[in-house]
Amino acid sequence: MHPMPKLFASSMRLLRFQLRQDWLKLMLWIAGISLFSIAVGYSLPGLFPTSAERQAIAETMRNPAMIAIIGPSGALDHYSIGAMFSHEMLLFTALAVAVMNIMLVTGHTRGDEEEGRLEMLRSMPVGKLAVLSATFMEMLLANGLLALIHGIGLGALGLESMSVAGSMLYGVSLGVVGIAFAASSALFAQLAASSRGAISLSLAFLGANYMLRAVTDVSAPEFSWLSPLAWGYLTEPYVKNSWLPALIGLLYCGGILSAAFRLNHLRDLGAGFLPQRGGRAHAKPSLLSPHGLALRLLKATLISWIIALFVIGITYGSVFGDLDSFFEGNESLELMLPKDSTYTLTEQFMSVLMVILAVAGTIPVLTAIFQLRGEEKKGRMDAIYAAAVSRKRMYFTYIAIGAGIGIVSMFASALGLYLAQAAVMETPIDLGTILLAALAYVPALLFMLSIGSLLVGALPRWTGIGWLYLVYCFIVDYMGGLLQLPEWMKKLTVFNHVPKLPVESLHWGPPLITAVLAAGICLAGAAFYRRRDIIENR
Amino acid sequence: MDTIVTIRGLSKRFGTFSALKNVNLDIRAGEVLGFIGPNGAGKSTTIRLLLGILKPSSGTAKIFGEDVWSRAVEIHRRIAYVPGDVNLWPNLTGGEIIDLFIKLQGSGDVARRDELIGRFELDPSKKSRTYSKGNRQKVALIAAFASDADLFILDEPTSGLDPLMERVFQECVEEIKAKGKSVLLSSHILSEVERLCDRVAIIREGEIIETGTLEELRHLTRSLFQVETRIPADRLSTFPGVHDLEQTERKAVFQVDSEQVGVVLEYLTGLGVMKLESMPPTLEDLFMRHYEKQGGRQGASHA
Repeated sequence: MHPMPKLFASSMRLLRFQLRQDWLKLMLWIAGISLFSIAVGYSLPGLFPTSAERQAIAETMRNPAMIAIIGPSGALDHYSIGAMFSHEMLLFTALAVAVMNIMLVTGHTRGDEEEGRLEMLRSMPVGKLAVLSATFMEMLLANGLLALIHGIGLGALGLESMSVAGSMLYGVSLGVVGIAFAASSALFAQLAASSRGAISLSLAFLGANYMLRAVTDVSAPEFSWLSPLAWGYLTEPYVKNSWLPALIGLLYCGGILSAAFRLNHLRDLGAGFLPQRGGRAHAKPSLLSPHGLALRLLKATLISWIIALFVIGITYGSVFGDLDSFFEGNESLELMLPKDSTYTLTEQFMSVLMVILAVAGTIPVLTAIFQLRGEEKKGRMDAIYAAAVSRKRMYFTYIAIGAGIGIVSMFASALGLYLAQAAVMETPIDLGTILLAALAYVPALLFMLSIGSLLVGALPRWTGIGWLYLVYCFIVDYMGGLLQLPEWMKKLTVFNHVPKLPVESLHWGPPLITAVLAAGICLAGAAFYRRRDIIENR
Repeated sequence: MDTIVTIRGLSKRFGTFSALKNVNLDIRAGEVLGFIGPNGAGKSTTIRLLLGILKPSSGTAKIFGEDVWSRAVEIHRRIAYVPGDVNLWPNLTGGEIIDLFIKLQGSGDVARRDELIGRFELDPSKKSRTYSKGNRQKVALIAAFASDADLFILDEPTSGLDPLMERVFQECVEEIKAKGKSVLLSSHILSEVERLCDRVAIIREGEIIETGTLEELRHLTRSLFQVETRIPADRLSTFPGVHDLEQTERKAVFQVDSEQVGVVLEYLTGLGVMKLESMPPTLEDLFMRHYEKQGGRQGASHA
């Protein structure tokens, strides 16, 4: 008999070590998400004091488009503060929690492995599976803490419709979604052969889950039980308080995690299970230029985003059919439309959807421009700038790619939206209307690009501000109406200044001003970028 | 002789930390300049300033008579660079990266490239994520030596190479030197510097503390002597320039400052020299001496 190998040796020591590295990051994530939840919970009673007001909101939720976006609710007839809170907040918050888990897990598994840090650890008396188990324990602690803070914080608001038990379940629901995605990422980290591959797979899995549940929530709710993301809101905190989905989530984690452990044990350090393609001995001519290199580096990411945006467009477009037939039978809703409006409710919803598509479309734009800084950080710009390539050329190469991807993004999601709604609606919206509504956001995307480029030029260590601004825009534009945020907060998001076609009429002023501002900020960024040190920061 | 690189009063501060203080340095046409100094002394900072990747805090640096910051792109058409830490794109193959570097630099020839790939024994069809440190360095070296640059800036280019590849590297440097190219070679492998370099500059804590040919530098330091005399040389320890004396009855091993050699030899001759061996100081001795003298470590005692 072989002695049992000590696969988990030093797990606890590694856990303490990782916590020491991560505590600030963890605190920021957990505090950010928790404070946001509690602040919304705190402000809802003031915003919607009477049940009549809440019921008015509930009526606008009673349609497939809203179900696809924010999820279903079993309490639309009695839309209490608690029901409203868990309906409007849970799915959205769970997405953020899932992203937190994906980033931290892939960082400590594939990320550390790729940078050679794992090799150092493995040369010490540390078990083969210790890093993975320490990482998962860290995520258990983080999600547990997040659940606890939500439970206590929301429960402490003392609202009649938000019981302590319901608040605890709300927190647990978020935590369960979190560890479900932590476990999934741990599995993907074994399958992929690189840190980037692991992050892409995990995020794609999250996106697919969001889309899957959007479709099943609308047309076949029982199938939503298959999605780890749906286990969050299926507990229906404050409404049914069902612990079953959380339990399913824990079982799922156990299964996925043991698979991840098994695969981690089987594979060599640095290897993955998905096939690695060989390469060519000499470069194709298309690679041999600054833009050729940049496009090659970004290719996989950008193509995945275009496909993802097209699919998001299709998903939203596919619920338009249900939306149409729903409105036909609902006279009270039609009365809510302005009398002189020549636009259908479907078109009004489309203009709301466009903001979400634009926020999603900004992600590849920022990814592209921040690649310029990412390459610098990894020490790869030295070799480029030691060759006969100017800073200006590299900078504007990335600006051009960012601008191009912004246009393509909006185009792809508009096309997906058009095709899907044309297939399901009796009187579909025409392509021109949809395209114009989508392309009206392009100047806003360029503005986001310019903010990104200014950060790369002037504050290269603080490019995270670009993402924070995008999150701010998303929260304000997505929840601004619900939270009745002050006007100045709305004015600070660039998407707020985009004409909401086709419902609003097309004014050329705001898009034009936005585009001019974007160009100016880009140039300022270039001036900073050309004058500063290239800083390696691994 | 033409001067290719002129550095005058060059300083670089990172916040409050002075990485480089008032550096003056020249590289002449056709020479190989060795650039040595302990870790963190400012070698790579100097090189990154020369490449226009960092902006000088004060002072000037010129290559081919042009300012390294404002005329970077023009200068770089005639420069080849090999960094110490070669960071490559994990998803591209070695061959693709070599082609990219050659193309971006602007000069280079395919036959020379293929010849170098053969000599360095690199498999160019592998993704660079599978390369060891040595193989990553080969990628940068092949791209650099395949170019038709006039100045080669090599920052610890051989730290990951095996002895066979190290020899190929030295051959390559000798070849470009024979073509009249100039080389700035920063290295910790002092035997390599001794073999390849015409002149040496030593940097410590951001300051150039010594420049000159190896001969000139040797003159500033000590030689090692091993002697055997008929009469015991018992007054040897009283000479001011003698260090690290180890003495048995008639044998002595010691170091002596260059300027004291004459006096010591005179004394020894009177004692009836039976055997005398002298070894010039190696670059390592020079280096250690500078390092210890200024590093605040104890005196001149070293192995």
